[in-house]
Amino acid sequence: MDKGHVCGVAVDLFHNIVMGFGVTLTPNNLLACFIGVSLGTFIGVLPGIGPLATIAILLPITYYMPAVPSLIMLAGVYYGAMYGGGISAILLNIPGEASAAVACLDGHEMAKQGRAGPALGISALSSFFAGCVGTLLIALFAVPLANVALDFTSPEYFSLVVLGLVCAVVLAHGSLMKAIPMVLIGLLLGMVGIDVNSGMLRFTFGIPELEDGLDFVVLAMGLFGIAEIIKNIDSPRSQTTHSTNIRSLLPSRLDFLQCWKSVLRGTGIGAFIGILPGAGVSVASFSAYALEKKVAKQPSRFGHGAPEGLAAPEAANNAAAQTSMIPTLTLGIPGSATMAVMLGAMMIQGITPGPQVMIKYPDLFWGMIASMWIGNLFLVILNLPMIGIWTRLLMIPYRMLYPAILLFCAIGVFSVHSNPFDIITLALVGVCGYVFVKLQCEPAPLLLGYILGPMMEENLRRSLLLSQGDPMIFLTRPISLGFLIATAALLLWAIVPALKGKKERASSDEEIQELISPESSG
Amino acid sequence: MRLRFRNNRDFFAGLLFVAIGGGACLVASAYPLGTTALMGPGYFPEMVGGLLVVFGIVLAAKNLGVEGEPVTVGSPRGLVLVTLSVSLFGILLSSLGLVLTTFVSTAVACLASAESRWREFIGIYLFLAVLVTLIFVIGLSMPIALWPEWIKAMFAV
Repeated sequence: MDKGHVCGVAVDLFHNIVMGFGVTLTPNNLLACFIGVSLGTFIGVLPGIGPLATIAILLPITYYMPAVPSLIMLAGVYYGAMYGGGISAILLNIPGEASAAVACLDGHEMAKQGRAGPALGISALSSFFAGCVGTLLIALFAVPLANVALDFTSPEYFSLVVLGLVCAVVLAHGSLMKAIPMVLIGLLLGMVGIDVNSGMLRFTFGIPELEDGLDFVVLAMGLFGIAEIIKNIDSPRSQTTHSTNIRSLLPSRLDFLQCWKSVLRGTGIGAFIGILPGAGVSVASFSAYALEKKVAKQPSRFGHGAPEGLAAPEAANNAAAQTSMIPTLTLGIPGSATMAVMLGAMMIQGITPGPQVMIKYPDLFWGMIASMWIGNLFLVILNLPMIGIWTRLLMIPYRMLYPAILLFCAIGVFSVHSNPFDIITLALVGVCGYVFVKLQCEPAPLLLGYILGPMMEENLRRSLLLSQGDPMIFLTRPISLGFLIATAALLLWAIVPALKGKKERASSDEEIQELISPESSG
Repeated sequence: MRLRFRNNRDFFAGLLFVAIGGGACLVASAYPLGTTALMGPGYFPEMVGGLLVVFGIVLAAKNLGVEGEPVTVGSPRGLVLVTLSVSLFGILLSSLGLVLTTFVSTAVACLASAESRWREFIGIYLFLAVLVTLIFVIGLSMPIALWPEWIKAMFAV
C-alpha cells in the first residue's frame, strides 16, 4: 500500500466520521442515544432483566421510529447495560448483567472496604476508555471488512454462515451436544412460512398468521423475556442489601497507576473476543480477569479488592459490546442472540443486513458509530452523578418489576400486527423457553439459527444450482474452503477433549462455568 | 409445591429433539423434495429434521438410566399464571380495552409470585396503566382502544 493510498483511506475515514457526527448531533438522535444509554444503565443495574430482553421489548416501538434513532437507541441499551451491570455488582454483589459477575469479586470487596466510590469511578472510566477504543476499531475495520465481503457469492455466504453458527455454538458455554440441536430447531423455525423459491407454504398447519413466518419479535420476547420471568419466579434470588456511603467517586492516583495497564489489557482482550461469534461479553470479562490474575505480581490480592480485578473486566465487557457489532453491521452475521435481535431491528426498518449496508445507508452506519462514542460520553458524565438514583432503584423488588415486563411484552407484541394470535403465541413460546431452561438447553443458539436459517438455505440452494448439484463447489472456491476449514478446526478443538474424557479448555473457562448461570444471553 | 421428574435433563432433552426433528421430517415429507441441484421446499427441512433426530437419539441413549439432577419445577403456579396472564391479555384486549385488560392481566401476573401483596398490586397497576397509556396510546399513537364499547356507551350522551 503506497502513501497515496493510505492517505486516501485516512481522508475517507475522517470524512465518514465527520458525517457520522453530523448525523448523530441532531436533537432527535441525541435524545434517542440518551434514552438508550439511560435505559440500558437502568436495566443493567436491575437483575432479572437484561439488554437482550429489553431490546426485544423495544423492537415493536422501533416500528414507529425512523431507522437511525432506533438503532442508536438499541445500541445504547446494549453497551449502557454493561455500565449498569458493574454498578449493581459493586454495590450489591449482584451482577445486574451476567458479564458483570466477575466485577463482584473485587468490586464488591472494594465497596466493603469503604471504597465503593472509587470502585464505581474505576468501573466507569475503564468502560469509557474501552468504549472509545471499541468505537475506533469499528470505524477502522468496517470498510476493509465490508470490501472483502462484497465479493462474496452464494458458496462463501453459506460457508460463512456455517462458520458463524458453529463458532457461536462452540465458543458459548454449555454442552455442544445440546447447542447444535438448538441451532437446528432454530433453522426449522426459520422455515415456517412461504418458501421463497417455490412459493409453497411450509409448517403453517393451515394457520394464516403463520404464512409470513413465526414472528421474530414474538420469538425473541417469548424466549428471553417471558421465559426469564417464569424462571425467576421459579427460583427466586435473594436480594441482599449493603448500604455504602459514597463520598468521592474519583479513583486515587495510586489506583490510576495500578490500573492503567489492566485497562489496556482488558480492552485488548475484550475487543478481540467481541468480534468472535458466540464468545460474548461474559467470556471477555472473565478472560480479562483471568489474564490479570496470571500476570499480576501478587495474585493473592485478587478477590480482596484489587482494583485491577475490576478495571480489566469492566473494560473488556464494554470493548466486546462495541466490537460485537462489527460482524453484525458489516457482514450481517450476528455473533450473539443480542446481535441477532439488533439485526431483527434492522430488518424491521427494511434494511437487509450485509456488507452493502455501509454503501446504501452510510448515514445510518457512520451515525451509529459516532453515537456509540457519544453514548459512552453520556454514560460517564451523567451516570456517575446519578449513582444515588441508581442505587435507590436497585431496591425495587422483583415481584413489583416483572408484571411491568410482562405487560410491556404483551402490548409490544400486539402492536406489531394488532392480532391477539401473536400474544397467545408469545405465551406458548414463553412456556417452551421455560422448558428449554429447565432442560438446560441454551435458547441463544436457537435464535441465531432462526435468523441465519433462511440465509443458509437460500445460499445452499443457489450454490448447488450454480454447480448443478455438485457439493464440491464449497471446497473449490478458496474463501469458502477457508471458512469450512476453520469450521472443522473449531469442531475438532471442541470435540477432541470431550473424547479424551476431560475438559481441556483453559482454566479460566472453568471459572466461567462455575460463576455464571447458563443463560447469560448477551 | 414442587414437581420432580426421574431421569436427568439431558435424557429429556434428547427425547425432545427426537420429537421435534421427527415431527419436522414427517411434515416435510409431504413437500416436494426435488434433487440436490434443484432443491425443493422439503429438502432442507428433511435434512435438518433428520440431523436433529440423530442428535436426539445419541443424547437420549447416552443418558438412559443415568443418575443425574432431576428436573424440578419450583413453582408450577408461577408457570401457569404467567402464561395465563399473557394469554388473557391477548384474549381480552379487543373486548375490554387497554385499561381493564391491564387490570386483569396484572392481577393474574401478581398472583404468580408468592411474594406479592395486594396493596402493591394496586400501586403497580395504576402506575402501569398510566405509563402504558402515555407511551403507547398517546406517545406512539397505537390503535388500541382504552375502554370497551359498553363503557363508552354508558358515558356517551
